[in-house]
Amino acid sequence: MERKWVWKVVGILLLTAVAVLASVTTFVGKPAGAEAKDPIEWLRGTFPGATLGLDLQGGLHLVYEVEVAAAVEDKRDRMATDMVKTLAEQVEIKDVKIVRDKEELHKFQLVFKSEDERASKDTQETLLKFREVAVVEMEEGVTAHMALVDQYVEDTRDLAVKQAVETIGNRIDELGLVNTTVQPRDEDIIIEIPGVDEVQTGRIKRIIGQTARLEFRIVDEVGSEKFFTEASDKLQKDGPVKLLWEQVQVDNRVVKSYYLEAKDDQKTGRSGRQVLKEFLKTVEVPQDRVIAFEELRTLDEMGNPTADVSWRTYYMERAAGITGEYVENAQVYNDDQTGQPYVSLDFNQAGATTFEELTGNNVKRRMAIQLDDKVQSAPTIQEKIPGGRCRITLGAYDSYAKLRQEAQDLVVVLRAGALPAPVRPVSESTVGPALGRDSISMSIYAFIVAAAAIVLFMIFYYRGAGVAADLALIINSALIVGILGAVGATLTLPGIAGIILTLGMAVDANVIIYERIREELRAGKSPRAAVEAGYKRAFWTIFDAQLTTFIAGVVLLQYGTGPIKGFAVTLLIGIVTSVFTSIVVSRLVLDFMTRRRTDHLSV
Amino acid sequence: MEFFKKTPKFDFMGRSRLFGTVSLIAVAVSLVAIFTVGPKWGIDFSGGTEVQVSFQEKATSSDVRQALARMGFGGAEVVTFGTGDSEYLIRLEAISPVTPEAAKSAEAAMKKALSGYGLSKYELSPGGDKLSLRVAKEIPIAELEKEISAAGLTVAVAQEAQAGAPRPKGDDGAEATEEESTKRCESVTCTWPYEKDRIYETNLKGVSERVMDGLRAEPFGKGAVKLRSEWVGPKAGGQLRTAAVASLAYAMLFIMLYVAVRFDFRFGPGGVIALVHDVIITLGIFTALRIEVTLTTVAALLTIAGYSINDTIVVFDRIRENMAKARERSLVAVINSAINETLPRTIITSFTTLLTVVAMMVVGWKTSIRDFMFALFIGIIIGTYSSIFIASPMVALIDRRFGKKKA
Repeated sequence: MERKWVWKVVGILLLTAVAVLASVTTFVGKPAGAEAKDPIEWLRGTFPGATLGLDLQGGLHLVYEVEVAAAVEDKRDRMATDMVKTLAEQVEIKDVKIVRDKEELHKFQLVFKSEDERASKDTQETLLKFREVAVVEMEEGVTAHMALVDQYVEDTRDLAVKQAVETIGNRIDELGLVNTTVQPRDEDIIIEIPGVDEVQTGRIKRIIGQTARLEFRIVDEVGSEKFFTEASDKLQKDGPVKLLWEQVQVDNRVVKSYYLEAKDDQKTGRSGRQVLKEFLKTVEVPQDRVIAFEELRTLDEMGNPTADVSWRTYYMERAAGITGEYVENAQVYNDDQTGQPYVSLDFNQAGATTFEELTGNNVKRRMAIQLDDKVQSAPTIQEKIPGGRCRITLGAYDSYAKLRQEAQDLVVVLRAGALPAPVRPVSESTVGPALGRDSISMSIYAFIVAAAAIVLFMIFYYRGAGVAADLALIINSALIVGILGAVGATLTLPGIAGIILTLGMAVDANVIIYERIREELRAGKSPRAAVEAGYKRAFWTIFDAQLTTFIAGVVLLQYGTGPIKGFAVTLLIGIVTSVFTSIVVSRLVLDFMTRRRTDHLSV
Repeated sequence: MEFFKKTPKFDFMGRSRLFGTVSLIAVAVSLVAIFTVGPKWGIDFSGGTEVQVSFQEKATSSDVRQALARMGFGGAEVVTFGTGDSEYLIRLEAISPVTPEAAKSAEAAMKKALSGYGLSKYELSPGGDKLSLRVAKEIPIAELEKEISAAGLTVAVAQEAQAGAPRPKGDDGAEATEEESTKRCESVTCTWPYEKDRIYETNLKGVSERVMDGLRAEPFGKGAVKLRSEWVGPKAGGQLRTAAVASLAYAMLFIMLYVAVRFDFRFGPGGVIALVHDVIITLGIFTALRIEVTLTTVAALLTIAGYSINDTIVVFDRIRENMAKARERSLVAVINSAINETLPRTIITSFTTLLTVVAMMVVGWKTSIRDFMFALFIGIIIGTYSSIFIASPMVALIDRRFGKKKA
């Protein structure tokens, strides 16, 4: 018994020590400046520390709605036109009219000139070729009722949202802000940007509102040598920007193509792109040249991407060979022979002509596909490409799943340029940094006042046992803050309110136990037996009571947004820790007291 | 210290009819208030714009209201926030900075002004924050901004979104004429309107930006600082409303299921009726006091639900325990003694929880959680009351009606 008690105490002290350690990163901020050394860097790896929510550090929360219906309608119209075109070109069934359903945007009708034409084998076979479209109704008459397949409609919606997330994410990245999140939620996009002020807010909203600019540019391999070697004079030795070169073929010659590379700096939160951009400000880029950036992922030995991200430059001709408005469609296909996925891109009439010219003039050169100022890929043109359809093959050594993913991502980007689904703002909220600071100091103050009041009350009402409950309460607070720091939770104002509220409710378990002990004492039991019975009887009461509050917390977590989620998280953590501390910690103290004086218990 | 030296012996069950009637009336009044007058929905649910501003110099709320009226925001609600008279919360129903009438007249004005540029598309976004134009000829940005302002819209920034694409070459190698390209378009499916190849996008200032601009232009508002702003569109409002109702319903369902499983069927309804009672009366009080019901209030209601059932379960647990011990006593007597035995705990826990709530209410009166805390304050008091006077008597009631077979 004696030894067991000591071990339990040691265990709890250790746990508390770990919790205190885990909360350090929350309170000790990273030192400012890139060079300053972070004294607790070793700790941050294990315990990331809680971050402040938007309501506490100030920031911008935006919700945009992607008009997926527009994307579906657009897709349907294209499919219908395509069908009519194929019927006319391949089986000579002409003048088929399209009637678009105004209510259900995935439905349409094909009206044939005669019933024979409609019912002919040629028609049936042609229509069957379009796997994305199903025949809904094929009764008598000249009309065929068609609809996009459900799965396809869903894919179109998903893709529209993905595209928008991709585009908006790119734009925000471009601003060089850190800790931003862009996430889809159903058909909405939620954007959170911490720590921005009124002026920046306006700028961010403008940038999101723009239409994406997709451009195809020819990489100037030969010119890169002169430009970058000259620019390298300004490079710092051992600085973040590195000058590198690769061997490429231009007009049957092997030349050195130069580029700059810079890594994302995890410590300062500055992206490599930002570093490169700043460096390039110091040099003069020729009028007819332009530089864009590509994200590179470092791969580990297994060929999986690591967390290290770096950026490289492409030195390109300024005149865009072709722009996004020429792209009519992009799709992922699998190669018939190799089974490898690739991206097929369709240009419209005007684009087809331009593209043929562009590729014809630049065979064996690289063409960069650029969205805003980010290069998505830079394939080498193998031959002149006529017909307005181009095929972008991706790296051949990756796994199928990865290639497929990459191809799909590229499709998202390519079509993002065309923006088939517009986005529109649904809600917006900004919190200024001043208000956030006020809220933080208020919460700390409220925490101290509330904790002091409870601690004093418990001692006043339960004397010695009250001290035990207070000890449990203090360890409980340490555990809550420690867990929040260890999982890197986001602290919001309601979240802190949750912690404070938990203080009030945490003593409940002890109150239940102590009242029970008093009853047992009144019934004539010895202090030791009363403690034993009190804890035993009270356990299930506490369990049942707390579990129902826990249920409410889980529901809050499920349905709440932003700050309210923060409240739910701290409430849930608080319930678990408070049950633990009020049962285990206070028990150890009471055991200690009843062993020292067996005839009396201060409760 | 002890409140009761001996286990108290109040006759709670004997008065259950009286308290039941009081509660029934309170619930009825609350329901009437909720469904006739209706709660005052916050912008989370109703849609609208909220701006919290602080001024360096003192300004009265009527000053602010008048300034807003001059900007064209007539129906603005201005409330003091915090302690002094330098911080205000401005609430507007407007989401779009452009009223439908203003949008109409602006469109007419713009179409007229830009007729020389071959305007082919004019679109004001539903949020009223973006104007897209498609024209044949280049418009100098300064000129565009001037025209937009003249039409009564406020420009944040205007820019050319997509540079004009080169026209395809004709047969002779020269740039195709308009006629040629149109012809080419007709022969094949062609979506490229060669002749309309310039798009301008103009971001317009939102409601909160306009409010801040306007306040800063006012003499008293030199040091106006935007502390916080928020606007919610009708769609988001609808979504949030649905989620809020669903969350309350689910919470109650799960709690009832748990109580039914852990206890027996006689206990489940009592616990849930008590928490429905608490939620309705809290909402009723909010309606009567015209306090805004926001997302945070809903979170508070859920917490109240959790707290109320927590309180109830402690009493239920004792009832169950005593039922097993004393088979010869009537259920009513068992329940009554259970309530009395747990009474000290009920009082103390409510007290400590209220202590924290009051601490936050006093210290945090300036922040957005004051309504949250106020809801909890009311909810905890009612929750404590209901577990004694509603939930427990319900157990006896249900037992009398349906529990004969078992007893």
